[in-house]
Amino acid sequence: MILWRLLNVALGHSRRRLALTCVTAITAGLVAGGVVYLVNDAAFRSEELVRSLGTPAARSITLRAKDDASDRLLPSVAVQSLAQLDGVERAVAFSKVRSATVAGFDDAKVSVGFLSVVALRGGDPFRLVSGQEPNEGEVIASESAASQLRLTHSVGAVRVGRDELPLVGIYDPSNLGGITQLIDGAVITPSTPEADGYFSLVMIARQPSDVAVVVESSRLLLADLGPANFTIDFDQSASSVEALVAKAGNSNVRSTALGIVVVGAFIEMVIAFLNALLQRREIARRRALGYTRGQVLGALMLEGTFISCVGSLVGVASAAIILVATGETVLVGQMLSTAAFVTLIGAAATLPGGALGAYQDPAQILRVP
Amino acid sequence: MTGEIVEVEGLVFSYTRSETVLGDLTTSFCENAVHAVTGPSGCGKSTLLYIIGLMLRPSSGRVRVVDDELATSSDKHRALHRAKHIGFVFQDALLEPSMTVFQNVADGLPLHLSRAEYYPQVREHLERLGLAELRDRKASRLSGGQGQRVALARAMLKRPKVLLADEPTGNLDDTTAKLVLDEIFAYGRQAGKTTIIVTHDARVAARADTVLYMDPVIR
Repeated sequence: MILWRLLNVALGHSRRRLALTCVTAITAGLVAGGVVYLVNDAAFRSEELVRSLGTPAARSITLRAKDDASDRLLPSVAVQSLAQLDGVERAVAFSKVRSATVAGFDDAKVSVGFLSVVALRGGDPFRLVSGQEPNEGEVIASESAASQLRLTHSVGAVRVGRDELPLVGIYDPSNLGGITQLIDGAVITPSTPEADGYFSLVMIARQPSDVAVVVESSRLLLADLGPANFTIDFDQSASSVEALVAKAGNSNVRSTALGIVVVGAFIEMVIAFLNALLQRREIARRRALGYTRGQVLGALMLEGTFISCVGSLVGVASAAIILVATGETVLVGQMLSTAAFVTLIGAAATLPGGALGAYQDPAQILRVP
Repeated sequence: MTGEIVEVEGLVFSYTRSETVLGDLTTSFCENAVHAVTGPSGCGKSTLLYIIGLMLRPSSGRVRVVDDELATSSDKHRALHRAKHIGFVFQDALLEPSMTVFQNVADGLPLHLSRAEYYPQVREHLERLGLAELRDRKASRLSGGQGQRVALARAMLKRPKVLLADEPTGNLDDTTAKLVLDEIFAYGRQAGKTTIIVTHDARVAARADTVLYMDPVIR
């Protein structure tokens, strides 16, 4: 009952000093709304970043035998071991060209070659079609294979049985002639591996941060081969960028949100002081009527808390509307916790002003001058 | 006049070491009577009133109000004692302008009372004091005299044993002042009640049952 009557007193104060009430509510709203917008926006962007870094292309590591001319093989045992590393999600090895390195068509300008492919881990990510020969000037590869082998420029599709496969990449015959170029062109078709070793190995790391670990492990496992005999291609930026951007983003969001909260709390504190000063006679009158200091403080804090609560809920709702309108996701739990946090900050910011009001000398204020 | 309801003994009050307002004051106020406190400006009349009203703490000395020693008790205890036993009337009505007469009067009741408990009490009280017609009027629309009568109604609603009035008619015309004083004096002369009124007005002091004349402290 006491709380209810104090709340009525607080609401009465709020109504009577509408300008201060509005400024407090707007401050709380801006703080809560700003924090919600920042955090949700950052979360959305982080998700986008993780999505973009999480594509197989960004997580792929390609090991190649460097010596094209001699068709040197990567040691089979080492490649098998690499495929089983913890950070590897999928691994596909390409063995020696089964036929010649250059397969001639009628038109001498175009040539294609074939590789044997074996999935060492994680199944076959490329949906390869056994025995399918590319048409002139075409490369057969699934979308995922194209993505993982960093091919672009989809140019159409070819029907193979019941499957419609995209045709990806048009290559120039001058690029052919070596294994590396054949792999680059992703002229791939499945077959049973016949060789003891592989020309190349494409590994897809579980996450961008695993890329560097897998690369380092690969170098160690192939140390006997000598670094001059193989190359490792991977997106160096992926793992570091993920960490850097996440760190910088989080740090920026945290410091900006903290700044907003601190400025908001300061404004609310100043308003609470002003409020207590403007209510001096009213507070003194209540003290004369028998209010304890605690009850005066309680009424002032209830006032600040209530206004902050209303303001922060309105601010959070406004931020949510803006986020939804711009196509970003809204984290409801985070919104509510921000509103609660800003309300709490509002209550805390009211404390010094409330204490000023509660501990003022009522006799000094009420006595006849 | 019967037993003492307010007693002060050896009361000293100083704002600073060099500014003593009350110096070793001993006096008492009995129930069923109206007591006037008068004297020149700066003699400490209002200070004494606020000490008795438990709004000020004396520098030294004893204060006994309605059977309780209160000079050194906690602020909370003093506030609760004030809420229960002491009513204040000031020179300014000190009403909340945006609230109705009813709400202003109800404001004088302890916080723990529910609306169901205080509503009939306030209504009946306003009717008894002839303020029923004003009950829904905003305090900002009251005249000075009406405002002071509402303030008096607020102070008397909880039936305090001690009613303290600090120049209650200082801002009123003679007719309204008489009306307000009549109510204050009638209240103080009821059984178990007392009124202490601080005034500069000799006519008011003349109506009181006792008069305490205070001289300024000689420094």
